[in-house]
Amino acid sequence: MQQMLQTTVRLIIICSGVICLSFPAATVDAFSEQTIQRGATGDDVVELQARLQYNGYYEGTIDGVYGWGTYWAVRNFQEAFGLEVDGLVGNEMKDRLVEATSYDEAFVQRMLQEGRSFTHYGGTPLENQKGPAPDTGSGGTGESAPPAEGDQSPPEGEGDEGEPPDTGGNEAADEEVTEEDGEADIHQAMNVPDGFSDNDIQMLANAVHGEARGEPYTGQVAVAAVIINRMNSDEFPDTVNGVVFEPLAFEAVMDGQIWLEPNEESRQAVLDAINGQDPTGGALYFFNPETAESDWIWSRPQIKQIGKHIFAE
Amino acid sequence: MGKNAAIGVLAVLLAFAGVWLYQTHEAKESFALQQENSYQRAFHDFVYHIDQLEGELGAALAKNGAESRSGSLAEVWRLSQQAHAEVGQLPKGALPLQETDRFLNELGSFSYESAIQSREDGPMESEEEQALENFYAQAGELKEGMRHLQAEAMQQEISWVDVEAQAVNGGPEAESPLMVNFERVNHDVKGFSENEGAASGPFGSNEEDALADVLDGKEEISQNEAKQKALNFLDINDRAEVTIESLGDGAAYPGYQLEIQDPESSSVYMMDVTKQGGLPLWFMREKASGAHEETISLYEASEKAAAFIDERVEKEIALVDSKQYNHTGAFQFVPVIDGVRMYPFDLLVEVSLADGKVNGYQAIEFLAHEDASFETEPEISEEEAAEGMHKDIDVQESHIAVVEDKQDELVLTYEFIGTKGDDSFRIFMNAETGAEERVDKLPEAEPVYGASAN
Repeated sequence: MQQMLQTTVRLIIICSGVICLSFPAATVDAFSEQTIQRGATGDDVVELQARLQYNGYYEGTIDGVYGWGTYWAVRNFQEAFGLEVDGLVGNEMKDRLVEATSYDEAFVQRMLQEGRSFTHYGGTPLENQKGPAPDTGSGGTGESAPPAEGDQSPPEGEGDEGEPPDTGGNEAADEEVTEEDGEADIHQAMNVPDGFSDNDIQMLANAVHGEARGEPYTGQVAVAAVIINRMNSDEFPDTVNGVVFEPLAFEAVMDGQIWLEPNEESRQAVLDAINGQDPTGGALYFFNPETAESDWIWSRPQIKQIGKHIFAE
Repeated sequence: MGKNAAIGVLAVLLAFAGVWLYQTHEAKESFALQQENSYQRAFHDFVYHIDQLEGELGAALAKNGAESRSGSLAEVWRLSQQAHAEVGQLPKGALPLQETDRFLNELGSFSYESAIQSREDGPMESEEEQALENFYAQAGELKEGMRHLQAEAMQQEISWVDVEAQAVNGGPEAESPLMVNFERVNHDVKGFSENEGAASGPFGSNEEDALADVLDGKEEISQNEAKQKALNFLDINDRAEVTIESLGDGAAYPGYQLEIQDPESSSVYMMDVTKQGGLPLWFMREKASGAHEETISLYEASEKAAAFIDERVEKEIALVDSKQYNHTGAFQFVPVIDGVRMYPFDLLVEVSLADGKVNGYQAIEFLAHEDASFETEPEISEEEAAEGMHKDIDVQESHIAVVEDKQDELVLTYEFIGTKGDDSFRIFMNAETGAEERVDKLPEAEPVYGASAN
């Protein structure tokens, strides 16, 4: 496997001239000026991953998020090309990458838009590296891979190994479907804080929106922080859903407001709280002093008031 | 004739209204019944598991073979977690179960730890044996109490939905005999867990004590001084409008809470400062509206974050994690002492990628351990430590670091970051004993499943 890869890399270096000709759509230099660091997201990361994949350093999914897989690829590249091994993609590394690889931005961006799994290895025609479009319901192939799984093995040799199982016959149909659809899922990824899935974040955002919409932003972060504090406390369930759906715990759950569509602000507030922002200083309870009915809640030692809510230990 | 027609129409309407009311009532009833059934199920399952728990604890005490005992303890761990989950499904606001829940948690972590240890070390130490005896006695009482409550509830045909409704409306029935008994059972468990002196809550008492130590002896500052300190810290001029008040009794430390309106950047800062010494522990900036274009990269933002800390903190720090969320960069820094990364004492900074200003700052852990000293000389070499790792791990990076072990004690370790197949791992090997302290799989980016594409 390793050897194969090396052969591929060598092959690429030898015939890079020829290959460049076969990518008429390749853009010359699309990297922006920024230094790219682990944790970054966006088009520069897409280009970085595609270029690293082109010469075999990166085998993961091209998803536009500079995660650990990309980090090791960058470091290996830096080591091989005699650059300082720090995982930071500065101008020197970008120049080397642009020299050594080719990047078909139009192809990659189209694949991302269409939500296909795809690869970007050099030495194999890109058409063969195109995965099936996501199942939009009317395709009916039943076999198309979900966009989450983009991991395809690198092409080994000149055959058509990079070709996913069910392209060919229904490819035309696939394309039609996505064009009609117009709003295909984007085969993209995002950073999530350690230990939380995007769905957890969504559930938290729902709870925050239901409980604290209309509150100042800090107040929304505070409500999210209370939920997270509860997860970490012995006296409460240990999961997002356990805490949120605990009977009598949240008014928004009792009256159904939790199912209102959360806005971007509540989502941002949740991310802030998960990342360690705690405006409440460790509160486990909060209540609205104007509507709170139970005496018990007033007996809790209070920490502070933010907006309409009093936060208590 | 017209009269008769009117009567007829009215009668039909009345009949419809009746049917409609009846149906709504039915729907409500069946909803309440469903709710009641799920509460009943949770409660009876819970009592059943407490029962089993007590039996298994007794068995663990009687067992001598290390393996069979660790099996029993593992069973105790499983049962306590199950009972804990069932407590979470009950209307806990209405039922006094907090202490019971805490007891289950402590028992859970205790049994997990000793299940693992008894496999390794053979017979239990007397201390551990004693703790297990205590848990057993306590579980016995809890079982008795819960059994009585269960019988009582069944005899009186208690409806938990009603109990819940009473608690919400705060009626006098909240003090029914059943509730009084509940209180008592819960209270009895409390006596025990306090003996054990276990910490709970997001700020373990450790942090609170450490912070109190740091603040001890520092001079108390006035509101005006606090205001000035805050403005200096944020680098905002004096014209800013500031409101300040004291934090309540529930706060982990005596402090001030400030709200600062900065006219220059048209943003609002919320900030907490300690009364003693005026240490800024936390602040957050409310995003100015409209600024949503990214103008700087994550890398530039991380440099701004580092510069912000450098100007305000004397300690050497290292950036250990960075992540971009939409228009914000989130950075985790840890203090570095003699080249050793102190992971538990981290400092979190968020920087806006739109205007490059610091959006958030969280330094409680960092400041609470400001003058913590720690042994930073490893006893074994890095190679020796690496030998204890899984042989397929391909080490890419290594550091010396202090982390918390499972008992929340600080240990000096070698930190290895490496890959195995497509996955990346962070592994901490004890720098004294060579034991594997922690292995974390490093998360990769999550694909957008469609819930919230932005």
